[in-house]
Amino acid sequence: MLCSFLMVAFLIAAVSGLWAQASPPQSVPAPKASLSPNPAPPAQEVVPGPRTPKERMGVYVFMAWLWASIIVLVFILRAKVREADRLFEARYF
Amino acid sequence: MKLKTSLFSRRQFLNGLLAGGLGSLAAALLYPLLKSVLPPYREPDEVRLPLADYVSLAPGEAKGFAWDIKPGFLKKKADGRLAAFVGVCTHLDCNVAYLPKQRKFFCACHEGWYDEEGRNIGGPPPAPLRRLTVVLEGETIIIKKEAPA
Amino acid sequence: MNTSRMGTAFRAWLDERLGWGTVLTFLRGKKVPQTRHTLWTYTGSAILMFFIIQVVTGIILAFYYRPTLKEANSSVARIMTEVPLGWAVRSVHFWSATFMISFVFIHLVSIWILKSYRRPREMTWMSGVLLLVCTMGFGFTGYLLPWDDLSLAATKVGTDIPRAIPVIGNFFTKLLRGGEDVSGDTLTRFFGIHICILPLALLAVLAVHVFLIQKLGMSLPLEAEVKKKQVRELPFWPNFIFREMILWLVLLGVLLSLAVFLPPGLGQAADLRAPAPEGIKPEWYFLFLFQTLKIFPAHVLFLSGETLAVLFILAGGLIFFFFPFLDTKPASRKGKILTGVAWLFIFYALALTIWSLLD
Repeated sequence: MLCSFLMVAFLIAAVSGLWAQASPPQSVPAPKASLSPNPAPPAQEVVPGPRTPKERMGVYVFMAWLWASIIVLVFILRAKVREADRLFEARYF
Repeated sequence: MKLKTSLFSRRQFLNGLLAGGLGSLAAALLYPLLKSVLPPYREPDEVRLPLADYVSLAPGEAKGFAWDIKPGFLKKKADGRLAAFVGVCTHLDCNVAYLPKQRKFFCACHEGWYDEEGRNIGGPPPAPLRRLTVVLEGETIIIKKEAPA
Repeated sequence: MNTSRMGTAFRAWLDERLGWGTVLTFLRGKKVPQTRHTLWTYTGSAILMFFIIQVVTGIILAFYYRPTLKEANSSVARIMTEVPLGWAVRSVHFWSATFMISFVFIHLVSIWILKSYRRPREMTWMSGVLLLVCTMGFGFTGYLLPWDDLSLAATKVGTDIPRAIPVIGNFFTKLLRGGEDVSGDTLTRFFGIHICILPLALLAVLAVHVFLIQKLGMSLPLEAEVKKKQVRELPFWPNFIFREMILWLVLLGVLLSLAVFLPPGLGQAADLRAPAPEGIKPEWYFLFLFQTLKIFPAHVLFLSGETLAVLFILAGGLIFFFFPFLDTKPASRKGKILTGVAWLFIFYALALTIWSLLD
């Protein structure tokens, strides 16, 4: 019981920590003027994620396909587990 | 005195020689390998800056310069003389910023403060900022690594 | 000759040369005890799955990444903007690292509390601690590679900490940084450590770890061992592996969903001479160490607070590594006290992590 609590606590700590990182930190001030002799031109903001509408659509299609497959496969695997356990009880192995 | 039997067997002696020989060979191979792991670094003896870039500094203001790969700060004191600091926090090596309004250096990593003379006045820093020597030579500012005596 | 007979003949031919029949017979006989603690046995293979994902996505990233001062940040930007689905590959690498470390912690805590490290599994535990060190090394070196201002500042602090260790600390810092200061050499070095040294080290230790687990078998819960209770056992193949596959699928789904919808961003390219940004924090799994360093006072007697904190952490690490040899009588009162110590440490780490996150 306590172990499950820990598992959840770890995941919450991980996800909340990363959430803070994944979103661009607001409080960090823009870097002060560069002191290097030839400052590199400021790169354009890199926006993570799909870049075109087509890619964005593709992501949703992929997600739908992924979860549909997972649900079906989990269903099949549970049947296989039951079958394997039955065979084991019957001392087939 | 001559011993009747040897203290070592011939087998032990040879094994010892073999192990010793392999060991010394390994050491001879490892030494140059370990040596190459640390690249040489010499910090510059001096950095030359055109005075024209820094004449507009008002007393209490500071402007950065490149002390090789580290940040340096050239600061005009109240009496008009220039002082140079290496802008690296003495706590855990973060780069500091100069806050002209408060006339203090600030390290954002662990909130360390230095006054305008580079003395550690707050937070974790154990020592003052490193100071460099400033020499004026005509239209050039020369910053040397020896600290003022 | 039909194909199935050809297949049988080929397998016999291979077996004559490789002798893998012995291995297969062994694996077929492998049993997993079924108790109320069996859930924790799934964590190991989950870690392995995340590691495999790390290897695959890491190789793809290494095709495009350039570990130099000038190009590191821009090559990551290129991965995220130009390389087809590069943002997704990087995101999976990022999230899979997070999951891998989370599951390493869960795996470790479950084994620590259930005392599965007890005789004769002390070396399995010790190899596991080395794997933990490798995993955290992956996290630490990988964090620098995008070369943005946060990762540079975190690495400067992180590589400066060994300096607090008397005598050898300075050399260790120089070795990590490739010189006195964090520079382009540090970046290239971290890349080499991240993609060559650590994978080789991890695979070597992993081989020992997995071999020991096969040789010694799955451990029984302490209470079952003490009371000599008969424990129901299921064959590893196929009963257990089907159960594991269910977990893998679900974890894969969660991982990919998070990766697709919450990809990590990329900060401005780091400038070696720019002031440190505010609010730097290491990755979440280092926060308890980070906060430990913070709570030590600046000076304690004749030592600096840093030195004391680092020595304290090192001593803790050593005790942790040799824990099975401290806990020699797990069922006795001493064993219960040591379980209390373990819980105390876990709550300490959790509390400091949460404190640091709120800070």
